[in-house]
Amino acid sequence: MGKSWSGEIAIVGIGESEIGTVPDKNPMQLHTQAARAALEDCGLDKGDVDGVLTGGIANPLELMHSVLVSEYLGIQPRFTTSMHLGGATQIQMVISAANAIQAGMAEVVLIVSADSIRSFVGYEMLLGMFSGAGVTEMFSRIGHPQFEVPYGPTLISTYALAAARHMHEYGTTVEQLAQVAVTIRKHAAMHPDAQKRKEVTIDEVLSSKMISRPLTKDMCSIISDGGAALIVTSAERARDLKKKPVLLLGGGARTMRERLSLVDDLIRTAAVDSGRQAYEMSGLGPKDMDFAEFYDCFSITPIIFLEDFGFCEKGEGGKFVEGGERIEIGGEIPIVTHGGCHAHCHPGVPSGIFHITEAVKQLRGEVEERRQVKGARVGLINGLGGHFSSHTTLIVGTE
Amino acid sequence: METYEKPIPKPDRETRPFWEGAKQQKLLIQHCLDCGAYQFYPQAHCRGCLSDRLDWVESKGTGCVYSYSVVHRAPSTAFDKDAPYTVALIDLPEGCRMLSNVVEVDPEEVRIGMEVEVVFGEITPEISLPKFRPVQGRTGSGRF
Repeated sequence: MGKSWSGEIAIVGIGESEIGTVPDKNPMQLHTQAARAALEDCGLDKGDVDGVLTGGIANPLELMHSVLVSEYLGIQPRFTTSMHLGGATQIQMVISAANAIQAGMAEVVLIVSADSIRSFVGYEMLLGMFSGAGVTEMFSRIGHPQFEVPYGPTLISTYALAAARHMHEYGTTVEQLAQVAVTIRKHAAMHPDAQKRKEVTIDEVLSSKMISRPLTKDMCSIISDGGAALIVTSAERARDLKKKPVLLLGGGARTMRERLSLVDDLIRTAAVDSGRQAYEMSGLGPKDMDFAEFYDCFSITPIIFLEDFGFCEKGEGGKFVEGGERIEIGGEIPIVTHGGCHAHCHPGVPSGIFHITEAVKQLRGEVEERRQVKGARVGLINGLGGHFSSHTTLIVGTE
Repeated sequence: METYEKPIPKPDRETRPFWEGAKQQKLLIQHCLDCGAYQFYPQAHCRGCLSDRLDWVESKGTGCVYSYSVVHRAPSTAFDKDAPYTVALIDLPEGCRMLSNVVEVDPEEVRIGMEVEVVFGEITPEISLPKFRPVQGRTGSGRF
């Protein structure tokens, strides 16, 4: 077994691009805005960066993506690659950066992820290949071309299948699903940058447009432009930098099957194993967490993650969220404190990076007072990619 | 016959026997001659033991709905006129699962655990798409 980097690697800088609707910036400009802000945040110069990780851009024509981003930024990294694990990518990049730093293969790693899937700036060539349904059509093409796509599934219907199964096995209700959206929207309403800042009621969520039953529009991700960046380095190097370092205490990952027909169980996910690894590495457990930035691409996922990460028993996630008190800021385990994919910013795969920047801000005490989790010292972040296949977990803290 | 605008499977070296079977109203799955596992979707190697000694066998063609969703927001304009339609995961008795549509029934009447049977719809002269209908359902023409 290798040497654990728990407590020895830190996130020292974070930066976000313009987010929401950004009709005048292509993905490369968004990457640059975020990277520049992250460098300014920690006081490092781009000349200090010797590792660059990128991931998640929807444009499959952008081969060599991390190399192109490095080139645009004028950086010649010794450690670089682009990763493709869907919403699990961002945390995997942090884990990989930590591994590289621990092994001496990099000292300062820039992680940057951004996209333009709302305005589709820079997507002219690709869009010509689709019929006009835009991002929904593009993401529905990630299924098996012969055995899935011909039946008309969407990425949303995948998560609807999980929601329906959870309702069937455990009696989870559509009102409980709606509550997840209500709480996350409540958090977004406190965030000055969130794309959707209007609070909603359970009735409003349930009466929003039906997309793929049981999921209504308000239970789904929004579509955004934007991205963010992180600077990761050793805890030792972090001491001389501008901000209080946020230490990586634990990490874990597990990937199961991606094609829907091969997923054994849609509601008992590999987040269990990914979480177990992170808990073991950090020596902490669910009771130690001050908040949980769950990957909230659809309202069913936080319910499943509350169970899979041990905040409640399997099957009790629906009851756990009822009323919202236990999962909101000020509650037992506040989730998705920035508004997440539901309401803050969801530029597709890169959205998971905002769960990380939010955790860092919470631990630094940099968010607006009413959104601040009081006394936050340690938090859990998770990522989920594709059709429930890729799961990643990060536990971060200030000590 | 109106043009079929939805995505059409393109058989390849790994999957051609499946589509030839479907054309003859047979739902074929793979059976590993080395470890005995059944598998769907088809590929050249067994996902259990990596053997390439795979046989094609006919599934009983019955199944049970593991989960389903009624899609209102279709993925593309080609599917718009079908919406709302049912996307479902169907458990086959051989232990495999398929993504498919449940047809010949009002989407509101589909249930998890519902017993279904395969029905083939010819979408082109080469391709018949296996879908499922409730076992107790009316006999259909196989057009959907």
